[in-house]
Amino acid sequence: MPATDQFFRKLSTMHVVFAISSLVMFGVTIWMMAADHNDEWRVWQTEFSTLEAEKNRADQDARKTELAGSPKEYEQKKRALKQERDRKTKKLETQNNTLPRLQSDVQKISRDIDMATRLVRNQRAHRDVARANYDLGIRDDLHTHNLEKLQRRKNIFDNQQAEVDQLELNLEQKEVKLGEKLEKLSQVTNSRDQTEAELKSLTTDIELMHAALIKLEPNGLSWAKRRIMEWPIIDGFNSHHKLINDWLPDLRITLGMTESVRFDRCRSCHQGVDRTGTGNVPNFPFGRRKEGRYPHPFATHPWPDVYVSSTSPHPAMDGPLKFGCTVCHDGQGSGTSFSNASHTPNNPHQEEVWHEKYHYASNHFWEYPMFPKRFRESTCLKCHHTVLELGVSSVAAHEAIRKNGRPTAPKVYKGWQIIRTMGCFGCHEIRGFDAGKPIGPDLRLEPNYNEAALHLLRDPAFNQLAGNNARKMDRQSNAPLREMRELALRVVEQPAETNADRRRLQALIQEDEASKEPLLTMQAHALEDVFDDVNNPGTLRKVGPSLRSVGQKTTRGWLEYWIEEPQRFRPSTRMPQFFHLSNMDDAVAHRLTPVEIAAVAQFLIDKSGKSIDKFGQNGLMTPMKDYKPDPARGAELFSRRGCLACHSHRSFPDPDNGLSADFAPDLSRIFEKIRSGREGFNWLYTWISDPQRHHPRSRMPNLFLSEGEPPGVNAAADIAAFLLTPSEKKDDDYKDPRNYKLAPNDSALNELVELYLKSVLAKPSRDAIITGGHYPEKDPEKVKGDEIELVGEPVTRRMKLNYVGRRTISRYGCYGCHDIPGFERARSIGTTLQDWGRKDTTKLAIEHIKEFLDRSGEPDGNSTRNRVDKALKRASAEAFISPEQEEREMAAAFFYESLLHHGRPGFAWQKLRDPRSYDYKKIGTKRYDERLRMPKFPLDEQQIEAVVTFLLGLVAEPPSEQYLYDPGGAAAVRIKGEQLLQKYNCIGCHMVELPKVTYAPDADALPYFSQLGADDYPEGFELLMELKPPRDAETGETLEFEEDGKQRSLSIISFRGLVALPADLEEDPEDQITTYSLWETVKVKGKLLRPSANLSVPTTRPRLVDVQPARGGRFAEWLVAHLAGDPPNPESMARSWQQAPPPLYLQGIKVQTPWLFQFLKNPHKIRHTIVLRMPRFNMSDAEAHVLANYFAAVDGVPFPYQEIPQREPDYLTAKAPNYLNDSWNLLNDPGLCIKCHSVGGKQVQVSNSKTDIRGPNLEYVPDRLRPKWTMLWLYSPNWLTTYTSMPKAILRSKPVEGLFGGDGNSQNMALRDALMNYHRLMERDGTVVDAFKPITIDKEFGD
Amino acid sequence: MIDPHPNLTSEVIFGLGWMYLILFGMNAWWTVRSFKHDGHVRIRLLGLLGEGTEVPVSAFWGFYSAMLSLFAITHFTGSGNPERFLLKLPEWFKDHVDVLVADPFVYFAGSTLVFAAMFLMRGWLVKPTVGWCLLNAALLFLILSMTDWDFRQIVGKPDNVPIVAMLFIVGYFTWLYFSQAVENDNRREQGLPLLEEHENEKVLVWPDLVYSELICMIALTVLLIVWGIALQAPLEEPASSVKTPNPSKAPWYFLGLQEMLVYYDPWLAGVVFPSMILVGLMAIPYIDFNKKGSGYYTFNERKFAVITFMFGFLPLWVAMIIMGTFLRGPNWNIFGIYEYWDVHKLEALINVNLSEYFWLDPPHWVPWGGEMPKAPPNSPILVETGYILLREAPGIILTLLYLLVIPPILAVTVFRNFFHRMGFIRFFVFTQLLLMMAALPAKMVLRWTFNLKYLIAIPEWFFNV
Repeated sequence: MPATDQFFRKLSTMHVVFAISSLVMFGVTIWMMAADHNDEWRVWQTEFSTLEAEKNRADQDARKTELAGSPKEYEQKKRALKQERDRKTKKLETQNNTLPRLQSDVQKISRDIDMATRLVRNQRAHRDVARANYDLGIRDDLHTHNLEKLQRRKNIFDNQQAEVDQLELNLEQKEVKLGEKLEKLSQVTNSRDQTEAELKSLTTDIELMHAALIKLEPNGLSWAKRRIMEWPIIDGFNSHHKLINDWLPDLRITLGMTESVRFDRCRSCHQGVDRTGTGNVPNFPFGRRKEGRYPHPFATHPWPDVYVSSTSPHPAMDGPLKFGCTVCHDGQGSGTSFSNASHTPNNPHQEEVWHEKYHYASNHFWEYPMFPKRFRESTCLKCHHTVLELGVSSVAAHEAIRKNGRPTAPKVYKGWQIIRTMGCFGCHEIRGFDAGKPIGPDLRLEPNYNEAALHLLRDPAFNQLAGNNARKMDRQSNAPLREMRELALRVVEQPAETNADRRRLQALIQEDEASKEPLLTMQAHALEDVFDDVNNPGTLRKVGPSLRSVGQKTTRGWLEYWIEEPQRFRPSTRMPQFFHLSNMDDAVAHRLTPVEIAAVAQFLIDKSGKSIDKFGQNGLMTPMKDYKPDPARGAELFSRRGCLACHSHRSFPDPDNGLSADFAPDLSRIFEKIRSGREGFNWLYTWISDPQRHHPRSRMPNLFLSEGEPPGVNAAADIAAFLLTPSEKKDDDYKDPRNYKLAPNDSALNELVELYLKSVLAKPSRDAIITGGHYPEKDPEKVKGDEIELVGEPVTRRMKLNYVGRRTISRYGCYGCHDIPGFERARSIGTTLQDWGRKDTTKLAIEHIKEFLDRSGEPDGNSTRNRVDKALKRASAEAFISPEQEEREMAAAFFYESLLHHGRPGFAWQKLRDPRSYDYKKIGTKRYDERLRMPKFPLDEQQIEAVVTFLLGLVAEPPSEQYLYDPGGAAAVRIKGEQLLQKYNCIGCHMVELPKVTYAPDADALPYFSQLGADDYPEGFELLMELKPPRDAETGETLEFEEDGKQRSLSIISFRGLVALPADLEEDPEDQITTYSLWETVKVKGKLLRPSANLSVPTTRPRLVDVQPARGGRFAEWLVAHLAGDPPNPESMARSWQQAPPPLYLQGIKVQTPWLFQFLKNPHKIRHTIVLRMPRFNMSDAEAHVLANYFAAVDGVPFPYQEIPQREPDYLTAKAPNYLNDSWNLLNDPGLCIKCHSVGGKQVQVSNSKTDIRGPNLEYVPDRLRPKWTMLWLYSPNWLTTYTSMPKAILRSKPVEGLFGGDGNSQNMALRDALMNYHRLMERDGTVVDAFKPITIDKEFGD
Repeated sequence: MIDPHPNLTSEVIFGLGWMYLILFGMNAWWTVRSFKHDGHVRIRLLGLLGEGTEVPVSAFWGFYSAMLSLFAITHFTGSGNPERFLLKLPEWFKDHVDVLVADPFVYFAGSTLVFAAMFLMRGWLVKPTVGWCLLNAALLFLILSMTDWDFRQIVGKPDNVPIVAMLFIVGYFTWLYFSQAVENDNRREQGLPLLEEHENEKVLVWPDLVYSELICMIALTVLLIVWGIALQAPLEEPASSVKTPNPSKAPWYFLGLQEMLVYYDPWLAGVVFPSMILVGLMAIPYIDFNKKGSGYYTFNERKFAVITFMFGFLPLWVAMIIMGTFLRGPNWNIFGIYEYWDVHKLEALINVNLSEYFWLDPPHWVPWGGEMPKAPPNSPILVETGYILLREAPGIILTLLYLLVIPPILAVTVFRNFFHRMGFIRFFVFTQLLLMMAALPAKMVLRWTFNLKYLIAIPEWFFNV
């Protein structure tokens, strides 16, 4: 059919449909553009410019107030100045008739100059062309083949140059002329110009600020332009709204399979983050808007000293190294919306709030979500592999951080410390290196050199050396054994520092193995590969004590008692619990665990040997035969001789935890642990007298306790007696842990043997062993595994126990913390953690943890889910009792929620809270030995969070090398030194930073230093200013408070000092005053406070703001309080301090590094007043070097060597001929040093050690003290050490007559020089004469 | 409060309210339409109303629409307390559906049955009211299922939206085909002209064709833009060779192919079969000798062609896509539509090769058994080949039988007519293609019934069938 005339559809309808669809199309296109334009960051940028304008206005007002008193007055002043200027201008114009002529002259000459300048410029252009042509000629070699042409070009240039010179001269003349005219003019207009300048200086700042404001808030046409530039499409043409891209080419990010350049757009919204004023003060401080502060995303980074700003160590964008944002915070740097940036809420409640506010939803596809606030320190580990500087600000390389004193990342540091002290790395290696390249913190056990050497020494072959057989053996076969023994002993003592010895030892073992008649057993040969060299070896020692000779120390019963539940015996122990945990609450475990425990104890006792036989038969010492140890005296000595710096004991309760001596075990119940009788006493006596006898590498120092001081007293024996005396009466039902006995069931023992043998032997062989038959292999040399315990005579019960014990130790990895014989070759059992922070979450065995937490989960058996629900309800209702409670409960909610999403934080949190809970409802379908093995550590939730923070930071993604924190120089020494301070617990006794008191004093009442006293030397004062330069004590904050009905406002100051007199606790708390003696030189309101000034500090708020305790020296403080008597007085306090371990404040400026090295290696007695001696630590040379340098590095003085100019011929020859002689005579003056110090060979005679003050012998001074410090010490000792009894050496008002012209200052210097040349002079002029009688004070002290 | 997988949230309830509202709107319109077209029905209520009363059919639709509007209101007003909200699928229902759906055998058998029923009941199905009821049922099922977290995860994923749309589109066009075909077949029977002949009116290219196309183009563009704005393309994790997504799924239109990989080796499922599908589709015009049914809808005149094509398209392609999208979860295990995709779910991998059945576990009355033929060590390659062929002989023979013996049998039995009209070559190609298509369901059935892994398993040559 042909087409009809009619259309199929009505055309008018089609038009309508078409029109509508086109309109809809237009509409959705607009919608598309709007949707594209509708970016969150534009909103933030708009809001930020409003805030910026507001701030600009406020700043203008502030500046106006600063300039003129108030904005109003500023305007008045400005108007007045303007008027004055106008008046003067008018006056000039009307009253001065030379002015018009001068002005027209100036105008005319200026015009001439313009003209001449133009001519010069043109002519210079011609000249330049001529020169270029000439140069081109040279290029074209005209000087060799067409010299004429070249010469022509040169001529042209010369002509042009001549013309330029002429024109320039002309211009110059005109300029001179203009200068003259201007000079004349300014003479005429002088007064007006001054007013003009005044006006300008008043208004410049304000006008600059105003110009900035106009840019933000333009008016008129500019306003319209600014608005239009914000429109869609148009905003593409350089609008003021734009994304800010921070490119970080050196900080790459791994995305799936590729590495790509990182770029951050965070500043597109966080516009104020890098805005700081002078001194790194935030321009937009973080806080609530109500308080005049700025919320996110407008706020400046809260800590610009450390982050973002260009002078900080981590500048965001400008600086030699730029860090951007996401390398620290993580998140999606390219994201431009709140959700896309992968912000992460700090807890589920915040998540809800964010969801409401910002439509927040987590994007789980982004692999690097931002770290929530609680983990913001984690990423520091990417670059800070040494970690220490994150927690101890005094070792930081950046001065601003050191000065601030606030550690940069205390939480991650705490986590690191916990891992180190708890010994997590024994099972879970944290490798800091990948193919030699640093990738993160390195926490690994050191190679087992020491243990292997110890085990080697047990080889029967070495017994031959001891006995008579040795002689019978021919020398040749004897020699290698002797050498091996020597080498092994050295490796035992210093495994890390004796590489050559170790290699030689290894070679000897290999030789022996290869020889036809080996001397050593196969077990010894098997140790050979343990001595292999290791690249980047681990450095950490096992945290638990060595169990190699545990049988000497304690009994099998005690071991069972302890292993079963360590905290039962010692609640403060760090040993985790392995048994009776949540996955052991079934019949199988109840049957098998007693066997395991008993078997481990049996194994340890059976394998235990004697302490290494270096010192005699069994290495044990005994006190003199007739010595009767006195436990009561022992208790006193225990407290005084420094034991309490590391150990605690219930006889010395420490209710407010002032001592917090948890460095070493609590010794309260040690008498129930050590074997009873003589044997146990001797063991303990030996340990106290010389710890290295038992354990050559013990960190317990030698405290010189058995050296007969005080005379006739063997402190070690007394202390041993004290420790072994039961401290309380025993009940009738008392059971001695040493006799504890689990009753392992024989069938259960067989069950375990069967279980473990299943993978090794077939059923008939297993049955044979269980029923007491033989192991199929009879030669122990051929059995490699744990089954070696079953080889031999018909298998006995004891052999089975040993077998199970060995298997159990392998299974639980006990050797990760303890040195256990037979496990020298064992490897750590846990998963490595160096990249745990990136562990694929699908690989976390979450199992039935949700069900567990929903049903129980809390230590008391309540449901964690309920706890979390309750917390969230409270959070919504804002019903938390305290911020601490809120933080604690919301942290739990965070971790719980994280677990629900298989998050790493939640997994680790629960793993540490209850490691075995992941076996919930799993043990029914698992073999017994497949159950989870991780023990439960005594950690609270806060500690767990710190550990998790650390773990999450282990990402093994090191940035490019230049970003790694590797300070070198003094900063590196500070870090290494700090490590040693912690390793040897130096800070248990010594303060390394004094207490810092922050309070608000009446500034007028402070004991300012106004003028030098009669006996103060101006030179001394200068030296003080050099050695202790004054610091501004004002914190910049003021305290507003009400006192006696009056509103007061005082500025807050902070200072470092020691308590000179504690507050009287019997007074009203409001009236209590603690007196501090100042150790620093500080300034308050421009006025000076000198060291040793006494400051009275109230003990209560509001006046007292904060007392930051000293770093270290808790024991010293305790001892001082103990010695100073009750009630103490200033004098007894000072005397007690003299007897206690001294603070090491500014130790660097005091002692010479080489001397300190010697002293650390072998401390001799310096002071005579002290009640305890510096012990000798088992420190390697390298460690002593570092520690000696450390103090100098901290105080910023030269190390490792110091110049002593006073000994140099240049110095001495410049003095008078008899200078040194005179000095020596002065030093030996009967009225001076000799009163207290032994000097020049003359001994101080001590009649009563309790009353006589005896200073250190002066012979140490030239090697020990630095000259400047010595000088100041002579001038004014208490400026350096406030509590000293040393008087000023020579009073300014009473110099020694006769010598050095009677000038006190010269005499002081002479004394110092004599001291610095002491040995030389002593050799030349020293004589030993009768002792002088020392001065005696009125009353006794210190007892 | 904290629940990572809430079945109901305020937002979901509120959103479902909109869906009920839309369904209400659709049915309100249908009520009006019904009022005009459907007439009355006599209601007796089991004799309670005596002779009964005449009730317009639209009254039922009106009542149904009113219920829907009430549901919508309930959802809009009751979204505050999701824990207490009652309008959701009961757990027992979900459990039963899951048990049924999560079994591939039940799923495939079910889809084949539905397929067969569709043909048998086509006369009834094409009634508009039946079609409308099915649409309502499908939508209600979708809405109610949305109250389940797991279902929502799959259906609500922006990636899967086209698949959900496809279900309705395929359903609609299949229904459209049948309604037209049934109408035409009826007309044929009654001797009336076909629909296409009846309405054989030619129209102008401009404006009737081009103008309509232009408007469609604009409308489609609008749809795509709105889709693009409303459903943002999801950004997933960066690709990584060490961590692949689980499950790793092909694009939705290839999920049928991916499903084949479960039953066949990659060289077959990934190379041979797809090529055969393409070649087969191209070959259809050359194989097809039926001149009828060209240019108009019909079923009766092209029964074999329609059923064969539809079997290939619906149960073997679309149903496989549905399975791949909604049922295949982590580790490529099958999950119920309301079942949590737990990576820990395991399925026993106990499939056995035919040769193992034959050699290791033969019936007791055969003389061999207990040992696979294996070439002695260090045999020459020919001997080894011989052993391999011997080992796999049962499978090879079976396959050859399938491909070479069935066609002649077909030629002399059911397809005698075809054979005559096609000639040998065409018939051979045709039967090969048909057998290849049947190979997939055949292997599926063998897998489900005998745990058969491969008919021929020669890993030495990477040749498995």
